[in-house]
Amino acid sequence: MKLDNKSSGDVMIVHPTGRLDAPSSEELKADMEELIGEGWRKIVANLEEVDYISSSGLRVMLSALKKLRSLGGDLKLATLRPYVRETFEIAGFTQLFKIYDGEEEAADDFRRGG
Amino acid sequence: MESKILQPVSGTHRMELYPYIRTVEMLSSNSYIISSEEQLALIDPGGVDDQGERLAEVLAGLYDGMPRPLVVYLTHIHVDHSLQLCRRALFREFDQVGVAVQEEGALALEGGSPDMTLSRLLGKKIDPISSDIRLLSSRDLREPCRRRLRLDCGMTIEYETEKWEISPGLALASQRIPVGGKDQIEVFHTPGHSPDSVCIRTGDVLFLGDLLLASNPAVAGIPGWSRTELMNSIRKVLWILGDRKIRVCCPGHGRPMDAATVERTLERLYRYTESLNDLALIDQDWAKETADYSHEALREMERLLTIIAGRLVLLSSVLQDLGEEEAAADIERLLDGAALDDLLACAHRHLLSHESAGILDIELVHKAGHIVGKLERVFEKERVRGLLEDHLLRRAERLVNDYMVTFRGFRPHQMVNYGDIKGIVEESVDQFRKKPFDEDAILEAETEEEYLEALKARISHVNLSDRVEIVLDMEEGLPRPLMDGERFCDLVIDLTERLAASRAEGIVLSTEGCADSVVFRILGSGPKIKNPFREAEMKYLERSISLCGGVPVGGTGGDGEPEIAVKFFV
Repeated sequence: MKLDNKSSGDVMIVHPTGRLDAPSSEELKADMEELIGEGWRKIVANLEEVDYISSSGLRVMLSALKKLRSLGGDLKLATLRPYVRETFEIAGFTQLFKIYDGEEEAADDFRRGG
Repeated sequence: MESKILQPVSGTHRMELYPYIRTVEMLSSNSYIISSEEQLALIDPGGVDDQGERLAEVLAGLYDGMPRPLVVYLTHIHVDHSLQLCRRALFREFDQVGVAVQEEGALALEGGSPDMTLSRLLGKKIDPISSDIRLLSSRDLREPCRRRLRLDCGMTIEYETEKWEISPGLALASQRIPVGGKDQIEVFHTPGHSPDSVCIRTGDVLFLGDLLLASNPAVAGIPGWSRTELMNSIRKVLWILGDRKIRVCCPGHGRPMDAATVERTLERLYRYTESLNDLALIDQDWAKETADYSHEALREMERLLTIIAGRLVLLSSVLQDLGEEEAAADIERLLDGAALDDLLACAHRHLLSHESAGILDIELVHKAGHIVGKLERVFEKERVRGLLEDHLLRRAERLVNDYMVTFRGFRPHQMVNYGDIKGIVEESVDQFRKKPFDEDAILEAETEEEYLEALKARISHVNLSDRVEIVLDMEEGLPRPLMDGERFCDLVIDLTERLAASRAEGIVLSTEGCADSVVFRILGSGPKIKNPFREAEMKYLERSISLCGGVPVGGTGGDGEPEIAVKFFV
């Protein structure tokens, strides 16, 4: 799975692509842990190129969210494809994550202190 | 018994066996070379070139050591067992080569029958092949006796036919072929998997052909398959195992087994085969239709099971946050998430391979059936049932069950009656809205255990219905159309849930009557709504609609408000 990260001030935007199944979720997990280890606390996951998320992927997202919040940070999600968003909704994950229509909107919300 | 090693055949004087055991797959069977004083025998040359070439090398080596005629025996003519026979160049070392096939198979092979050889189903081309020895022919069975045949290649072959009743009404025919010294090859007619299927014995080793998998899903029902003949043949082979004191059985696919294991397997197989009434014909059309269904079903299973797994991940995580570590671990054990994701990833690879024409329709069906069978066992349904909405698990179970029923050659069960469509729609909405827990349970809990159960039920519930206004616009006094009410109830819940999850702010469910039908409609609206009824989803939903007894009419998939309309006939 391709991982494409970029920063905007103190906000890190990660850009996973393709299917977030078990092997690629492991890659994403490693990437997130590295970023958190480097001190990043405001992370946006732009999921516009993720066409499927497995239960492993959901677990990685949740784990990263909890870790960041425990450190005073947050993980926001942006640009979910309809199929992925529906999965998040019915699985109950939209209760926990803030979801935005675009990565800039999410980054702006971080800047506003949201 | 080791593969690809020449070894003595127990129960014989001087015979040796070279088993070529493959990984189980559709395109080629196992092969077995038998070396005896006066004959080299090759049982089932297989379906793929590298196997044929390896066998030819081994045969050439044995021939160089001691020149003898070669007889190629087919347990049956399916291409995975016989295709290499087309490559006559493989046997160029031999002055004398004869092909021995049961008479019905010989006739079909001479005509190059694409159905009886399964070449059509397995996407292969087989040229007509003439056989030299028609085993267990109708003439031999009419007048069982000793015969001597002189073949065109100069080979002389003797055989003796016998026929006897092993139990009232059940006759068994065999032919014994002396192969030098006191050794012989004995062939039994055991139709069922195909009309020409035979089992072959040397010493206390029995070669079974495809008997053991003859009732497998997507194998039972192939052209030429016969339930009655198969059941009779199972009884015959059980008799052979005892009477001929068989020690080892060598199947057409899979590893050799001891006779006791085969006996138990055959007994189970007999009982299972008895239940296989009214199977679909497993031909190319069935394979294509079921392959298409595999795509829809696996995609929907991927969606539903990921949702179920996600709910459990969420529940476990929240319990952990609340300090309920043991309860959280207990939830994790309810579903093997890693196994689920592996199976779904494997399914996805097979679907992609099929889309790019990397695997045949029938191959996809077999692989999908295998995966779905495993998906059935991935989570502890009864324990999960108390935590999630009944309809979610019910839909997942129905989807898996429908697929497995189809895979086995049957049609999914439908209970079609004249239904109260208004009542069913109202019931569906009630189920969608219903919280799977008692509001007061957490307050009334008297023990730690009761409190924890009430807490889990609350946490695991995802309330989609509160975010959307659901309006029922149901015409009164509608006629009762023919429908499967239970399936329709689940369909309505499914459609409502998809719209709610697609950020609908309003959902309208309506019914209207016509002269000969009733039309049900569901429509979602809202400024942020995304249409959940995409092309891929519609294939699955149209099948669901059909299984309810309805017909899809209209509906939108573009920029308009997402809508599904279903017509039921009165």
